[in-house]
Amino acid sequence: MAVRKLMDGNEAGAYAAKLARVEVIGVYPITPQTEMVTRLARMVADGELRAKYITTESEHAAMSICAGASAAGARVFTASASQGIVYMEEVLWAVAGQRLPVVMAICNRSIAFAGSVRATHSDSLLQRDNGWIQMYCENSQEVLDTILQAYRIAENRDVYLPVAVCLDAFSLTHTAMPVEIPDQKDVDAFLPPYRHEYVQLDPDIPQEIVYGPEPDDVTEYTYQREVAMQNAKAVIREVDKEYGRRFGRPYGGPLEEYRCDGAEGVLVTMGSITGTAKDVVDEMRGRGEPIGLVKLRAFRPFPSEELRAIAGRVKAIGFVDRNFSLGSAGGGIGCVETARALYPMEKRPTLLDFIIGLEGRDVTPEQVEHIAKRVLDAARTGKAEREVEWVQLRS
Amino acid sequence: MEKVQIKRFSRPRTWKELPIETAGSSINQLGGSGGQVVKTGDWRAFRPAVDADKCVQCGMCETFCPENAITIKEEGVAVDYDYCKGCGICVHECRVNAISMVKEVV
Amino acid sequence: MSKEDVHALQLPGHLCCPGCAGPIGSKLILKALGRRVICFGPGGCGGMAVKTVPCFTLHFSGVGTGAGGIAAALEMKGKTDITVLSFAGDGGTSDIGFGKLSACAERNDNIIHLCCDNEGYMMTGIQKSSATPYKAWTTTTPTGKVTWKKDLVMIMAYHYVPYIATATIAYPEDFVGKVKKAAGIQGFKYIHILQPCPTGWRFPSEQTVEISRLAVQTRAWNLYEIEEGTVRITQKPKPKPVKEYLAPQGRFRHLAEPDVEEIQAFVDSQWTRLERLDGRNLWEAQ
Repeated sequence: MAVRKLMDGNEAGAYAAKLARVEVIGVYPITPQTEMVTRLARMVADGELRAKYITTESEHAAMSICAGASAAGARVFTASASQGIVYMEEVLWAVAGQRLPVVMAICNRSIAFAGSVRATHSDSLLQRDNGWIQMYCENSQEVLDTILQAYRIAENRDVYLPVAVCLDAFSLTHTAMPVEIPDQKDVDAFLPPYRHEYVQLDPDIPQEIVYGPEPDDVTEYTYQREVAMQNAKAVIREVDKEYGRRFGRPYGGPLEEYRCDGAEGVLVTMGSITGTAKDVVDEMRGRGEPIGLVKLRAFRPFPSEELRAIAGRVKAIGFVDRNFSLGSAGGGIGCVETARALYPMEKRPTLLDFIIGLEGRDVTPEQVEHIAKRVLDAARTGKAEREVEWVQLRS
Repeated sequence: MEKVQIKRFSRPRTWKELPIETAGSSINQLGGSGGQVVKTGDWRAFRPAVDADKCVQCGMCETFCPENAITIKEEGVAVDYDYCKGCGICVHECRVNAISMVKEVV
Repeated sequence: MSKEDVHALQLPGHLCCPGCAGPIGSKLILKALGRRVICFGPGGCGGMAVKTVPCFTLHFSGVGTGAGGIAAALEMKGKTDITVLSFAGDGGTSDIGFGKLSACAERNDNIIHLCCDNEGYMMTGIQKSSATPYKAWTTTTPTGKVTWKKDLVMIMAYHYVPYIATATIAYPEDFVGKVKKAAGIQGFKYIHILQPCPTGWRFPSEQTVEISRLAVQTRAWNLYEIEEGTVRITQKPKPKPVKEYLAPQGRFRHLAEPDVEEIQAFVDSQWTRLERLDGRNLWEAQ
């Protein structure tokens, strides 16, 4: 029987790992992830989850332990944020490079300024090159559901790439929302036991000797991962559809179109800002304003095809970037990626960028409405008053 | 050696041919060397020559050869000259001076 | 373990320098354990031997961690007959991976950690590590290292792990016995292997085993084990002056007589300390 409970994103993450029957958990605490992993410690101690819970001395070790365990046949889970992600950076490249289906929750937190602990997407976006799939969650329910989906995506034989499930610091990790916890039997039917078809550390498996030219295969191995990333696009769609059928909560695959039909302009959001933005869109639609919203769920692989399809129907797109890329080609990371995705189009909508919500600064409905108005203005006039706007900047 | 499969390639492999489990590590592929075995015999300038009459088959040369290129067989000491790098440890460790280094002939 | 099996477990054709002690050490380890092992590495340049057992590599800085993960997974799968080996060089073990090693020991991860000590970062061209001995030349200590070699063995002893040992290639039965003993113990085992490096220590490649033997004979390197805290010296050779160990090595070529005396005094005091501990338990009140 599915059970409804009030829980924050951290607890939802812990429940998801438990339902996924993870076997090895490598842990190092960091705000705002700590409660996710301490909750798991209690689950293991109480016998609710049969797993090896390994306390490590650093995030680098936590991810290395997960890597070793995954290669040796165990389903693994870990979580981190900010400095922790940066500290384990080199291992993240190895995990993706070695095609290990590790699932990690990233509790998006800004990277080093002294005392910075609040939400920014920099830590996960930093991983956009190395082959990690990354998905963003709007609420606690989605955290639980996406982690379960993540194992199916990661362990798909055409993918075998690690998946980061991202949730905003504090606004998701520490904010309680109603969550439906699916029944373990139903999850077992959705998520079979882990068995990597290719990577198995086992003395009984024959080893291979290759006699041939000097090994110089990095280009080819990297290309294999790009192919896997492209395969992941279809897998993300299919897994989400199946999840929707089984549990009644489909999320639209790599992105969700919210009231985009008949919209002249759309906002693109990632993470918890989506919740506020959906409310604003509802209100503005109630007043007859032709605004819509695209909730970007998967940032990697970037859903270029889906965005282009939407872009073909609207006149302006405003990307809401909870990140920054100083000195970039123009604006935050999401906007720069979107620009490339839209580039091949013969007729492109106006693209605006809005940098907002850095270091967890509260994104208010008024600010979202301001963004929406800018987008609708650009839709009407055909050009943007400003291409990049730092919305909350005190100046 | 049924636990080891041999594959030969005369050219570098395409991205479709490379097994994905060997990317970046050596799972299912010979550990440490990235799966490649190089005929290191052409490194040497001197080769060990064994005097079978002096050899007492103590096994010291086999134990200490870093290349694992020496095998004590029934007929005597066998050196795999495809791999011997000519380091000279076998010569130095032989208790009865049965091995000597001979200049390699090109 | 028959000779054929060792030849099947490690193949020739690796890219180590001629005379490298690393493959000799790895041969002895595989001879001790056979096929039911999983290796985590890479284990410094000596770890490049061509092994036909499963090997998993991460970064050289991730000392012991991947092995801990592998051991955890095997435990969850109920595969109890496989020994997990963690190879690391002295640079990985004593410098960049020191914290990781300490954490593995503190958690008592069920692995054998093998520190393949060639006393420097040799793969990158002979740079100093915490395990480089006093006064040794390296490319980053061209006038000789001014600090003493870090005593990793004693540091590990105070992590209260079940088994610690030192070994070197010139004493193969001693080495193999220690590896076998470690494999039979649950928990974190640490074996520190002195592996002379002809390229970095500057001696002719045929002398690798001889230098390893001289290290023990001059007491520059002592062979002992610490089992549940009890120290036991496993080789007590008739001592030779440490000069006989230093002289053949080009990295000590610049040493003057007072330097050699200082090193002899240190070696003597280390031996005396070890002798006093022989048969005693380090973890109990002395």
